[in-house]
Amino acid sequence: MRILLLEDDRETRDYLTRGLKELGHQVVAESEGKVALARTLSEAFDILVLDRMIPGLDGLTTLKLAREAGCQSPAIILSAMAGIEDRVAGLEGGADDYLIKPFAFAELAARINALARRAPLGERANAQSMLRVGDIEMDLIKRIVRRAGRTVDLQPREFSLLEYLLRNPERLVTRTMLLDRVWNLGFDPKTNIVETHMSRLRAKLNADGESDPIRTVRGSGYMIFGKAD
Amino acid sequence: MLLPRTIKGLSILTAVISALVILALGATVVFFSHEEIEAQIGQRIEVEMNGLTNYRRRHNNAQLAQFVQARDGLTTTVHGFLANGDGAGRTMFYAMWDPQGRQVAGAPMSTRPPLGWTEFLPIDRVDGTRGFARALSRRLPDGARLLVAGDREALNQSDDRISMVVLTGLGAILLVGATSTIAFGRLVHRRLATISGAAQSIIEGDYSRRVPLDESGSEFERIASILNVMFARIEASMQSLRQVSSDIAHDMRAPLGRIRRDMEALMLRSSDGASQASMGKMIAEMDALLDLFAGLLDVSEVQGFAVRRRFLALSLTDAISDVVEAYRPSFDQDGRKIEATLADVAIMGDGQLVRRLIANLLENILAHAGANANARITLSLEDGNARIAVADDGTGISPIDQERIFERLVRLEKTRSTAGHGLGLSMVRAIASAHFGTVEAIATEQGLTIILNLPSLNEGMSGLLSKQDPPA
Repeated sequence: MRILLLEDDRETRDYLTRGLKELGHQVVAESEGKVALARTLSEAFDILVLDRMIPGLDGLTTLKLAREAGCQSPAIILSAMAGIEDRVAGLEGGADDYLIKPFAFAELAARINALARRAPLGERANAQSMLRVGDIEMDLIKRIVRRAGRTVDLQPREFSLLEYLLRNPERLVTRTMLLDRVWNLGFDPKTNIVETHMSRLRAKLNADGESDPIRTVRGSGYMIFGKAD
Repeated sequence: MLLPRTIKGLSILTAVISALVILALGATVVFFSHEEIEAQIGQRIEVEMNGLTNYRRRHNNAQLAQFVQARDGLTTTVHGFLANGDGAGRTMFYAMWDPQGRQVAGAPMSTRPPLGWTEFLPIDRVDGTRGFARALSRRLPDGARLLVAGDREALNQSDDRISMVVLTGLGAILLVGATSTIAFGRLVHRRLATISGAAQSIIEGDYSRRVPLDESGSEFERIASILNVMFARIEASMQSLRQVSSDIAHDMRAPLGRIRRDMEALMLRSSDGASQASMGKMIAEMDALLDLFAGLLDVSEVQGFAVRRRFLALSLTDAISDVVEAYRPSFDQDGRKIEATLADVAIMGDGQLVRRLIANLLENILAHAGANANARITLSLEDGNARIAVADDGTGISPIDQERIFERLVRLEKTRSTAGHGLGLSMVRAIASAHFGTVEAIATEQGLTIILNLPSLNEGMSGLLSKQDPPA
């Protein structure tokens, strides 16, 4: 994937660039908003990763100007501004995701993956009425889930949880991503509500003693697989 | 001193004193005018008597009797100074007895009054009514007796009139006094209500409130402007306090973030499982610290009330139900129960903050109420307020701690061993205040109940919101 990274702190920029390159992404790293803006207008990127607080043209303004100029690449804003209002301003400013510094690298990588997946395929993925991973089928219109032909009866939140996993097969979905997308709580609860719902979902999916399609990635999140290994 | 301390008491005291003064004044006027008129009646009687005795010196008894008879008849039609206003009725009476005691002139009288002054002589008036007169009886040289009397009716009428005037005046003064007392009381009450309203808002955490001024230059205005200066000082102090804690928390984040980043880089590069594990532990500790700062920043942000700009109408019922469903598996997992009885209530607010408030309360129960504590949430509409009661049947808290638990970073003895920063309930209180509401903790016989009161949508929240500064 081709990623534009705008970050003024050299060490962080190098760290993120190295990490993303190791994951197989192509990274264009810039330290100035003006240059980054010019690049978005002349080149195509799959994802924009913009630091909000940089001198000169800041990340959020860069994004606004890029959006006005017709750039539609999904964007993640990175910011040390963690306030409730700051998040709202970031998302209202045209960002698709808002990640508060400091963050775990795995969190950024997972969010980039989820956004990139949504982007070019996004409209098709949203429009499709069936999600299929392995022997799990989800009918989004009738809101029915089947595993190997057996209907699995899910609560609304369990349904949303599974839906988000099915939309990101074989990719890491972090706990905070699930909290944001499935529960939209806007804060980090101290209780393991993701874990408790996940264990119910698993119990229902595997009620007939099937193998568990959901793998827990310790300390990070979950991945769903079509074929259990 | 037993001076009254309330406006009501002072007003009643003032009314009683002015009524007594008026009554005393009236009584004095009645007394003196009574005396004066009585003296005038006496003087007239004496003048008449002297005239008649002089007449007797030059005439005999029969002539005097004739003269007395004529005079007695004459007074019935004449305008005397004691006569009624319309001239009717007689005011003077005359009578004469011969030396043998037989009445020879004047209206017939049943008894012959004694010599000298008789203050209350019963009389029959020409119009048939009865009354009393002041009478002077004198003995003539030959033993005949002469009586001149003046009707006291005029005196009574004068007394009545003056009393009437005094009582009317008293009534008028009491009426005016009562009206002005009530008006004064209302004025004071209204002004004090605006002052105490502003103070109450500040107590509840809205430091931007001021007492409205109306440029009247009144005493209240002066007090209000002094209070406003004080409120401004409080606001400035609170702001600088918040600013300092925000700055510290904010400035700590940047270096901590860099340390975290470098530690993560090290961990990802390391191939040694043991050092990876210990670095993972250090990162987790760092995250807890960052979490504490984030929590502190969030509480001060909500306390600043800027969040009110984004308030929208929202269903409190749905928000609570969302959170309850999110936490239900966590309760179930430990074999604990969570029950919710939710009426249909809407408020103006921020959905995420409201959910966070409920979540914090449920997390408190999960973490601190004891292993078997169940939760029970009730949402009801009471007097236009949304009342949320979050009750548990756990180990509870001591009543001394009821207020303390809402303060920042306060952790009770028994929870020191568990995770957390002591920010959950401060956030609950900050969110409740931002929503113009209140929160209190009640240590019940079994467990702890947190009661929230938030103005509901049907209670004119738009009015409250319009008092806020418009978004910058």
